[in-house]
Amino acid sequence: MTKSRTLWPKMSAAFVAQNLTGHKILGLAAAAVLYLICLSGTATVFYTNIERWETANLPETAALNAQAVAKAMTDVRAHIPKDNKETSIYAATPTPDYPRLVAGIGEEVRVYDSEGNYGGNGSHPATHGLTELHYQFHLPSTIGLIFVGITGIAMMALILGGLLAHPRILKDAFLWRLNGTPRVNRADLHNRIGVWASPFHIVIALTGALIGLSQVFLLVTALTFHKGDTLAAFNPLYPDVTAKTHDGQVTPEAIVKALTTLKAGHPDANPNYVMINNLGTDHETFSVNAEIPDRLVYGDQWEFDAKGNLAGQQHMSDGAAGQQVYASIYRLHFGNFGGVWVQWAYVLLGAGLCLICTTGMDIWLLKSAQKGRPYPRLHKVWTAFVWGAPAALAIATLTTLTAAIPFVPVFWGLTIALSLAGLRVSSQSSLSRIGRYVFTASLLALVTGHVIRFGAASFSQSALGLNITLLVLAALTAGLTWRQSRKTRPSL
Amino acid sequence: MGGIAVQFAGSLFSLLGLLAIFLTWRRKGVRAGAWRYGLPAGWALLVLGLTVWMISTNPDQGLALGSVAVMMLACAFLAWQGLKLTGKPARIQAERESATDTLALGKGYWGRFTVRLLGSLIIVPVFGLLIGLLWRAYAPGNAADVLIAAAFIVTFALTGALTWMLASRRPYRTCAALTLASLVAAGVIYLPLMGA
Repeated sequence: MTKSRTLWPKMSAAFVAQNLTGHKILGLAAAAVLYLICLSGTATVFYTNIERWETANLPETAALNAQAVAKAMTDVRAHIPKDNKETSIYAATPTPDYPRLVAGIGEEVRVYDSEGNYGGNGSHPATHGLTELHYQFHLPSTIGLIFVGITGIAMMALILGGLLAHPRILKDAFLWRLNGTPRVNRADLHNRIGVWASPFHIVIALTGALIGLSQVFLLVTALTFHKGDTLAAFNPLYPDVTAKTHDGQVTPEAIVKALTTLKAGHPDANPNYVMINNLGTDHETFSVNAEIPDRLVYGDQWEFDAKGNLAGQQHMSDGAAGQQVYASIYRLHFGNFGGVWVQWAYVLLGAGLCLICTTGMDIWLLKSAQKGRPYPRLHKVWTAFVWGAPAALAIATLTTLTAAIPFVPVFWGLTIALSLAGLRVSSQSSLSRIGRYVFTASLLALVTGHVIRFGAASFSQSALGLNITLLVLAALTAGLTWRQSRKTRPSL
Repeated sequence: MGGIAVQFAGSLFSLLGLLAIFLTWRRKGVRAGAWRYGLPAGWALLVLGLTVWMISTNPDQGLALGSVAVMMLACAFLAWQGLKLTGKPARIQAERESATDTLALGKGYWGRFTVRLLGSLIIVPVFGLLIGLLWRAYAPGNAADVLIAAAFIVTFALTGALTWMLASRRPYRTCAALTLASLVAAGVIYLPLMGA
């Protein structure tokens, strides 16, 4: 018989302790921010479904109709606001994941039916509120994007520090001591999800950091090597293949011609986005983005002149490896590369990441208490925050949907209020239970509000799936809380 | 159809790999005979499963799909563990539990805290960006490949430097080392540009 050996390299106790300290410092400093970004990111996996759910009464169409796309873009051009400063008009064409024809300019979102007739205003402020929490933490756009990118780096450092701080992490790959103390129970859960879902965590953190910080790096690259010209710095990844002709305005016939040309030349490519650039000038051009089946790249892009003649291809799907890697980052981050089952897997793994954030903080709070340095008020605020934030997301969505109240102040106001309300609850276990029931109630209120707002459309193809998901989540939360309170087992 | 069959095979290899690791782990560290090879065999099966996934479709998408499948299978194992609620006593993790807290308030605590904070917020980002620029300036190859590799290098350099800065018992030295490395990198990048 031989004593087992771990595959993990041998590390001294001092090295482990140092890394544990670093892991702890960063975890404590970033826990709340990371939790909110992970929470909103988990929900954002289904953002196209949420967008359809939020505008459930608008027409849907499965098939791409080139004439309808051209007609919709012409309609947008006819409705350009007088004070317009935008230089492009876009159209998102129907795909299996997003069966809608949407066109617009700037913040204006207009939905069209399968023939290109106007179907209604497609603005979706609640979806925006959710996604902008994830992309930019409700901060001004560039600052927010960089801030979230920095949290991606923090997450990478937490993963690295965590792995280095746990020399037995592979040896104990399945250890979960449910009958241990609450701290041991939490630590095992934290470490087991941490090791088995680490590829997901690394991918999410790495791609998130790249998306967020690429602007900073490109700016520094431009300042260093291209005299501040960011387009020149970006050119290797997005080569400039736009048409250089001056043919005036893009005509509807040109759009139909381009989509037909693309279909003939690349029958596998599925167009999902058309954009007219240099709007209102004598050298308007347009680009068509198309998904490439069975690839991680988000698509490839073809450029056309105003008459619909092909000017060039970006080659994001078959160009240099760097271009393909760059174009793959987005779908890897958002989980839309393998259909619904991958999206559900991302939701479950994202929920696991939220659990890692919460259990990490819990471990520190419980360990401090065991060492005679309890932080009861902080513990209460944290527990109330963990359940209050998702409840605030649901309620902010509800008030935006039913009363057109801006999402951001409601979300932040409620998150802070619910977190502080935790101080009023006497016991930690009661607080956890109350938090879960508040979350359950918020989900039920959200579904009820949706039915009141949209009536029969709440049961349409665009909304029913999400409404059922919300109800199942409410039932699971309430059911597990009720079961746990009967068993009086330690709770979060 | 062929793709689905190959993906099923990939999932099967992954499942067998997880089973091998799980059954080896259940023997609580004492292994005889064939069990000595349990862990390497398990990890090898996981790698084989991913390889099969990669040939089932395009390699990039196959690797991503296979990784998601392995993670979901592993989490299902964990959930199954949780549902079983076995009455096994908690094992002792001596080295893990005895890891000492190096954050204790002592002489020079606030100085180290300030250096860690400023180092993480200023020196680490500067170091990461300069290492990326260094790669962008001198690495050979296609411009797109060099640029995207530089972006990845920035991310990895930031991660490594931040981890080192926060975990270091001597943050002054770490800060000084990162500053020196940044200065050298800046010199190598900018001096030739200034001379040009």
